[in-house]
Amino acid sequence: MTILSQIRFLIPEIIVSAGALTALVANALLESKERIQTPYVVLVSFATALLTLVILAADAPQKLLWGTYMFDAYAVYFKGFFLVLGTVIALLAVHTPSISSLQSGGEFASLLGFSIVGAMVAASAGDFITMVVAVETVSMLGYVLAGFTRTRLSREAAVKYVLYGAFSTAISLFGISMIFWATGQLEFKQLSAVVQISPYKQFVFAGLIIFLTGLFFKAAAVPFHMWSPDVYQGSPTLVTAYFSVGPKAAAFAVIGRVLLDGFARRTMSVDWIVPPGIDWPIVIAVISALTMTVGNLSALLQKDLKRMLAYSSIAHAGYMLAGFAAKNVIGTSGVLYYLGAYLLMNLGAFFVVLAVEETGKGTHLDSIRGLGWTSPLAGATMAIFLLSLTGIPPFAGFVGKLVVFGAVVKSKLYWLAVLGVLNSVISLGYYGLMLKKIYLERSDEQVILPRVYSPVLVALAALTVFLGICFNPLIEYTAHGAKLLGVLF
Amino acid sequence: MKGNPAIIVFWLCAMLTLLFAVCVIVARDLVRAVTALLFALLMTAGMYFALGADFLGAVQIVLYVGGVVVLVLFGVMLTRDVEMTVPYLGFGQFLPALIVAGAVTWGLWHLADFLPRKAFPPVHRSVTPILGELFMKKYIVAFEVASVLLVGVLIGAAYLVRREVRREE
Amino acid sequence: MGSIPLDFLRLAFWILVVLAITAGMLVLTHLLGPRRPDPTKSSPYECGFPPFHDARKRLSVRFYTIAMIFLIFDVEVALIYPWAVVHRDMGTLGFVEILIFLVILFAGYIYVILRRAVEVER
Repeated sequence: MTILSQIRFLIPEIIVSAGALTALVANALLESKERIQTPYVVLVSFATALLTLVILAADAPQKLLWGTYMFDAYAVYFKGFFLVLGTVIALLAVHTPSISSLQSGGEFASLLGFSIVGAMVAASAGDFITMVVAVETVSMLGYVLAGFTRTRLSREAAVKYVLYGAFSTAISLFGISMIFWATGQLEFKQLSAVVQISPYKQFVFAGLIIFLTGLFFKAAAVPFHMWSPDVYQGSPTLVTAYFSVGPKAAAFAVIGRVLLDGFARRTMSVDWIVPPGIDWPIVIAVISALTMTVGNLSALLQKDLKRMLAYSSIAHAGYMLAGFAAKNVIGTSGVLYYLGAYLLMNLGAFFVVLAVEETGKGTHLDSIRGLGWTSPLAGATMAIFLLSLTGIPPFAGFVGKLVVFGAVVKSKLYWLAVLGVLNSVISLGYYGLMLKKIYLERSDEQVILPRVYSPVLVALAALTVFLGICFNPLIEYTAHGAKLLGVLF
Repeated sequence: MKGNPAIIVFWLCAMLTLLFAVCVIVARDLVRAVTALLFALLMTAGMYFALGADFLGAVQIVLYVGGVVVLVLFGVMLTRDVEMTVPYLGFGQFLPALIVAGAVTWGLWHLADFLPRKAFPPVHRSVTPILGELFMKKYIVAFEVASVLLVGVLIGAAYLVRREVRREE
Repeated sequence: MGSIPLDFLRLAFWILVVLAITAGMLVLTHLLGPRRPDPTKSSPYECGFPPFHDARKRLSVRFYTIAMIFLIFDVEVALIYPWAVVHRDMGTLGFVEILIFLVILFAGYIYVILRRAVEVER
């Protein structure tokens, strides 16, 4: 195939980039009053890209541009994921007073668009170079978004994010250089063949662990999570909602592809390459266990909603890592499914906090007191999100946990599964506390949701319930995506 | 690979990089620290050249020696106390740093034992044309995404430092 | 090893010559020049004001934004350079690719100009 015919599969990314660039230039050309409309350009580009993605998905899987770009079910799933995320965030950016009052909605939307482009490319990256550039795009744009409101806290968050982010990228690059040194390969697909016969296995897997460490930083896994509560608290809440899902999912997309493409055997049952004596997946299992436990225990102590949800998202990163620790395809498909559920419930929870914050109540735990009575819709949807985050049926979070920990049990990591269940019980402590504030306490202040919030919250809640009951199609798709990763080509 | 002068150049540059790096740490005056940093970066470029990575060396000089150091100097000009007592030379900070650095060096040394000693690359021709072809063909996505990344950073630089007048009103 | 050591020898020879000339100039002026110091000559600025405070002062550099933006375009140039070396072999396709690269950055440039980020404040 010539380059031109391969470009077809990049159309979603091209559309989003074009939209973001248009918004950027339009924003600079227009008068400040008209600027409010510019995010819609990006919004439309997200929707168009989603449409083209669905059309292109029929031709998957494709190996493009000399193996640097993979267009398979796995990539399509993640691209769709990021586009939905971008659409929701861009929509709310227009209608959230604290963002739209800056009269820089165009900047916000185009930064978001560029970040989404980076994440979409990261989901498809078939080699380390494309992957690093894409992940760096997500991170760099994240630093700017963190400082977007230019308040003191926001700036502090941006600086912290930059320092930790740059550090983690350096670590990742070091790991990649070790892998490249020992194998001479940068392409994931080529790597798996070389790794099995490589005489320098210790070196390769040391490199892999170092590389993953850098990504654990980005995904905020314990013990590399120190930055995340501060950054999440300081950033504008809408941006925090994006951070808790977008960059995290990008990191997971990359981890999954590197592990299943580069370090798995290509037989019908895809298994990770674990040479005798080098039980490297145990590192992921231990980090997963640490992440969920520390995340949940720390969340119990928080008094600020954003910090509490920040630690909660750390804990969820732990659950998802357990899927990778399971060393099999079901685990990875569980991670994909969990991410989908996490997108809905975590965004929803953050949006309710954002809505409350916009009424001028701040983000202290007491600000949602009596929300169930002052704003029944926000209260009810928040209850759904919290129950789903805890992992209670019939919500999507429950199914996600079921698949992930089912895979963990299948690979005989019983201690991790037990720990996961225990952690769900611990998490009930703080999710329950929030629920108690919402329904068992009273407040007289009226909470009026900003425009568009009600339909968005209802849609997210409805999907959370839907994915909790009718989960089969999505699970099958994620399993399909994960399975194809290791065996194709 | 006896007699390859690149080895001599490499080790000379490596030693000088270390020397200047130490100067950066112990300098009491920020301006002097930046100057030492400049030479450390320059010597790093020398290492790249000795290893046959001519493009990387050029980039190192153009971007780091030419650009980043100037930016750091501007940063220094905005700093209040240029001459300062060096806070990180205290024993409490020096010792952990030494331990960490020692551990990393030890680890790298032993990791290197696993690997084949690769011969010093002969400096036959420039790698820049090869890179140019890779940028245009194999890594075209990475190349264009790099452009997207740069625009994002550009907006960030212009947006975040712009003095806000409107909001104060 | 062929011509490579010769290249290095030439370079080394050139460096030596440069060092010798500069060192020679310094040493020779030091040895040959007459020295009759007086208080005015010994002051740091012989033909100007005596310094009234330290030069290391906090200084607002208003064009640090420009320096940052310059750095970004510096990276851009560095990335374009490899293409420039092989642009004949790359043909139309390479040209289009580099054009896309530049158009994306040009949008950023327009933004920076229109948003007056490069104007030096009073």
